[in-house]
Amino acid sequence: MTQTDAPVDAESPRVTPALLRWAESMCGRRLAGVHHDRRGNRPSDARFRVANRVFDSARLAHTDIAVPTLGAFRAVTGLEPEEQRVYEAAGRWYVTLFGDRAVRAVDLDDWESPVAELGVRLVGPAGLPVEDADGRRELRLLRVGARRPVAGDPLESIEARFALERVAGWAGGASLRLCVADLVQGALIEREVDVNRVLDAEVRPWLAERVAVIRARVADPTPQPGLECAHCRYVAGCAAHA
Amino acid sequence: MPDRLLGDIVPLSASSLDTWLRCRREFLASQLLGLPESDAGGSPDQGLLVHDLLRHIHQQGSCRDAEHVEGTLAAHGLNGSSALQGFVERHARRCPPDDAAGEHEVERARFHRRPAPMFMATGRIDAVWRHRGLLDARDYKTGQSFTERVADDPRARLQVWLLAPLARHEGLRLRLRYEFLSAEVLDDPEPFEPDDDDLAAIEEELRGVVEAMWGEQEFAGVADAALCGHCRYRSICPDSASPGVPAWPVPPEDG
Repeated sequence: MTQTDAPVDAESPRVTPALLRWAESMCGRRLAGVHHDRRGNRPSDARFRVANRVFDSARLAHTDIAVPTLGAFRAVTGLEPEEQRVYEAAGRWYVTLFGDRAVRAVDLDDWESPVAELGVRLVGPAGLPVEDADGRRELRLLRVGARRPVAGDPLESIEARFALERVAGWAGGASLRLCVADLVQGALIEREVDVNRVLDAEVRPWLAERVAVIRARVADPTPQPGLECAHCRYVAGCAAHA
Repeated sequence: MPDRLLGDIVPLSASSLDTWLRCRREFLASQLLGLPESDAGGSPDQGLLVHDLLRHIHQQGSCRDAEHVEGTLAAHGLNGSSALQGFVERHARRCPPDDAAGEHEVERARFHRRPAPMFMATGRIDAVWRHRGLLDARDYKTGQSFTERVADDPRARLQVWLLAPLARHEGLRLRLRYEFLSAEVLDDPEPFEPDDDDLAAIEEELRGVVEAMWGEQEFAGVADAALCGHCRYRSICPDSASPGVPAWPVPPEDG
């Protein structure tokens, strides 16, 4: 299987990191709603704004080939004081962890990639792709206060596998340094990846298996009311809340 | 603040309600912005362990069967722990009869649509027993008691509102009891058996809380040293009465 530029129906079902992680346990109706990109009630959009600002600042720090400096993480507007403290801490750790690498950010599609062979769109963050003056590539997944500790092999992370597949068109055929960093805890794990080999041997078989699980669950979209209803976007019309 | 702090349907849990009532600044940081905690709070480890133990004990047998309890403690690598043995013994004195049907970690969700604003209340109830015409819900507590009547605790009021449709569906009378399992607490607070008027009043209370959330602009902190001293955001909160340095690791060159 290869990622291609072959047209994928814009309405192709979505696969997100959350679906990949929770396919077995997520409410079937909610899973189907996310997978089929159904319109739902609007969620809060404030929870990710610090992480988004950190990501944007990191990307701007590498507009040209350069090492990151604290100047890239100066005060930004629109954040609460607590958010500003988190933002500043994350900036300091970004400079500490990546400050010896002069790289340039690569512009790829920010939010989604088609996988024609599976007939799905991968929708979600693909990390920060960068390359140095010699064309060596690196993919940085930046977390701001991760729920799960950043430890072990980066490829154990669902988000990292997802991101690697998303950037396959850019990174395929070469070696890439895959990095997962927690910019609050100051943790960094990284490994050199032979992209094609890892995609073929690990990521794509795993992705196909996970998509099969998602499809099997979508076939029976029975509501499973519980704690996750608090975060569900498809409450309207749900039999569990009629 | 251009971003939407609240979604169309506001999530409400006993924990988020408790935080809202304690300090709106903490509510903003933890519930709305989801910020990483800057400070250590009280460790929930012992409480989680006791909950887990009681669930296992009831799933496989009776909490009054000393041999079974010992075996479960041993399976958790906790044989010889007199503290945990004590928690289980104090629970066993309160536990419904052995023929009662029980479930643990019961997840409930209940949606309020009208009148606006909408909210989705959710909760995980420690144990729900059915016996003698009663839906007998239990909330295990391993800390101190701060109330004499369960009915006076907003978290309990949310829990009974969540459970009420289940009790009605099964034709059972609903009761919520707090089980205080530490040796220091001698008496449990008076259990809560809500009637229809209570439940209607609770729904209106919760709706009022969510309405206040929508109207909140300042999110001022409570600035009370006794409360701030336990807050997980006390080092980064601009209103903290217990300021300090975040517990996050510091990069080497900053140290």
